[in-house]
Amino acid sequence: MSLFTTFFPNVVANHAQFIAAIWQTLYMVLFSGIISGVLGAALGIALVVTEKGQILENRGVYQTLDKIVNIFRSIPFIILLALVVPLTRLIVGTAVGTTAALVPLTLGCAPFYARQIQNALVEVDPGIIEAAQAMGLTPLDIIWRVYLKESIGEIIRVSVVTLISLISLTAMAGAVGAGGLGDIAITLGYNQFENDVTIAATIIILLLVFIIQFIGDFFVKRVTH
Amino acid sequence: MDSKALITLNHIDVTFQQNQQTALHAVKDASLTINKGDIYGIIGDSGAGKSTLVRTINLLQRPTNGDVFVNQQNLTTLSAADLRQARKKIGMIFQHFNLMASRTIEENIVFSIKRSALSKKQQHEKAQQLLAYVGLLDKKDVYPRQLSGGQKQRVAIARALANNPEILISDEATSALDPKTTNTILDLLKRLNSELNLTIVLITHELSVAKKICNKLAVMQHGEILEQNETLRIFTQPQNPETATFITQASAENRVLQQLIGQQTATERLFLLTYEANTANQTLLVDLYQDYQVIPKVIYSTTEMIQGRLITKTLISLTENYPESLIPALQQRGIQIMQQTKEA
Repeated sequence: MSLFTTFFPNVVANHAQFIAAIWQTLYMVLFSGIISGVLGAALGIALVVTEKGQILENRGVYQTLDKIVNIFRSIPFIILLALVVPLTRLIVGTAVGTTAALVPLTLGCAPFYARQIQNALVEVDPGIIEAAQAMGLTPLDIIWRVYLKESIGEIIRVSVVTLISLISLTAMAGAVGAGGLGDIAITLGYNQFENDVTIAATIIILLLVFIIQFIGDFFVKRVTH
Repeated sequence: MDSKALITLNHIDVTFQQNQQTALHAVKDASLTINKGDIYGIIGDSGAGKSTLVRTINLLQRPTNGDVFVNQQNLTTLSAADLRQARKKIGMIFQHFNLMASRTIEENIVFSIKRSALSKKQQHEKAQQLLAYVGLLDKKDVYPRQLSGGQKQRVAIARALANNPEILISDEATSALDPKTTNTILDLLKRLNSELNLTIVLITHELSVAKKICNKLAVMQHGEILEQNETLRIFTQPQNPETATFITQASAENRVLQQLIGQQTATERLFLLTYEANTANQTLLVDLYQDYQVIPKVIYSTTEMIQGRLITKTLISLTENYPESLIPALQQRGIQIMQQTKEA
C-alpha cells in the first residue's frame, strides 16, 4: 500500500472521487451499452432486411434509416454532446450529470453498432436465406434462426469493438458533467498537474478493455464451428 | 387442365429492371407442364434462364407475367402465409448445399420442421430417420464443415424431405461434385422418385445428368423454352434445329466430330445419323447399299445409354452424287439424319 502511495499520491488523496469516477464510467458503459445494443441491433437488422432484394425489401424504410445512421455517425461526439441537450432535457429532465449523458452516448453509439451489426449480417450466405425462404419460414424466423444464429460469432466480435469504442465516448462525457475516468484525468490529472491520476485512470480503462476483449474472445471460440 | 399435371407454368415472363433504361428479359413466355412422378430436366447453357424459371415454381422468383399452378392452386394469388404453407410441400436443393454452418447435421434438418406440429422428440426422430435414409446417421452430431460435398448434398436432400414434400427442385445440385459423387446423388434422387413417388424438377447444364435420370426435358436458350419432350426424343429426334445444335455442341464427342468434319474432301458429303441401336438398325448400312447402291464409309460411331436405351450416333461419308431420296427414307425409319458441313 505504501508503494501505491508513493507512486499514486494524488489518487490516494482523492480516492473517494477516483472510485466514484470508476463507478460513473461503469454506469455509463453498462446502461448506454444496453440501450444502444438493443437500438443498434434493431436498426442494423432493419437495414439488412429492408435492403433491395432482401426478405422485407422496403426502399423508403431503408433509405431513411440509412440516412439517419450516416448523419449521426458523421457528427463528432463532442459536438453531439452539446447538440442533443434539448432532447436530453426532454427525456431525463436535466442535461447535466451521469444519467443525462446516457442520451448522447446512446445516440453516438447506436448508429455505430447498427453499421457493425449490418456488416456482420450481410456476411450470411444469401443461399442459406434462400433455402430458409424455400422452406416456408417467416421473416421473423429467418431473422432469429438464420441471420442472428449464423452470424453469432461475428456479432460478438463487433459488440466487443463497439463496447470498446463506447468506453472512449464515456471519457468525453465529462464535458457535460457526467464525471467518469475521462473527466478525472482532465480535471485532476491535466488541470492540476496530478499526472498519477491520469495514469491510474488509463490503467483502469485498459483493464476494462482487456476484460471485455477476453470475455468476447472466450464466447467467440465457444460459438464458432 | 390436365388432371395428372402437378406443376403448370403458364406464359411466364420474368423481367429484371437493371436501371431506368434497360431491362433484362430473363424468361420469355415460358409454359410447361410437369406431371406427378416426372423427373423433369431443364437444360441449357448458363444464363439461359433455367434457375429463374424454376424459381417461379415456389415463387422465390415472382414472375412479371404469367401464372404458377401447383396442385391446381394458383400460387401467385396466395397470401404470404398461404404461400409459406405451399412452399413446405416443395423441397429444394442447391449447387452449394446451403446448410447452416452454426448447426449440426441433425439440427440442420430439425431446423426445417421446428414450427411443425411434431413434438421436439418427434422432430429429432424424424431427422434421424431421414439421415438414416440418406446413409449419414453416424454423422448426425458433426457440423457441415466436416463433411465432403457429396455428404453435404445428402444432408441437404434429407432436409428438403423433412416436410414430406411432393416436389423436389434441384438447382444444379450436382454441378459442384465430382463424377462419382454426382452418380451417387443421382441414384439417390432416382430412389426418392421411385420409392416416395417424389416429382423432381432438375436444372442442369450437364447433358450426362439429364440423360441419366430425366424422363422429360425442356431445353432453354436465351430465356425461351426451345422444345420440351421425352428425354429420348430430345436426344434422338429434336424438332427444333437449335435444340439439335445445342445438344451436339454441349456433347463430349463434338470436338472429335468437328475435327473429322473439317477433314472432309470436296467430293464427299458427311451425314450424322442418330438412331436406337435395335435389331432393325443393325443392318442399316447394308440396307443403304442394297437399296441405293451407295457405299457409306463409316468415319465415326459411338453408342451411349439414354434413359436405359442404347442410342448410336454414326458419322458416314457418301460421294457427292448420292441419291437424295435416301434421306426421307432414313427419316421414315426413325433415324435422325443431319448433313455436316465445315464450320465457317
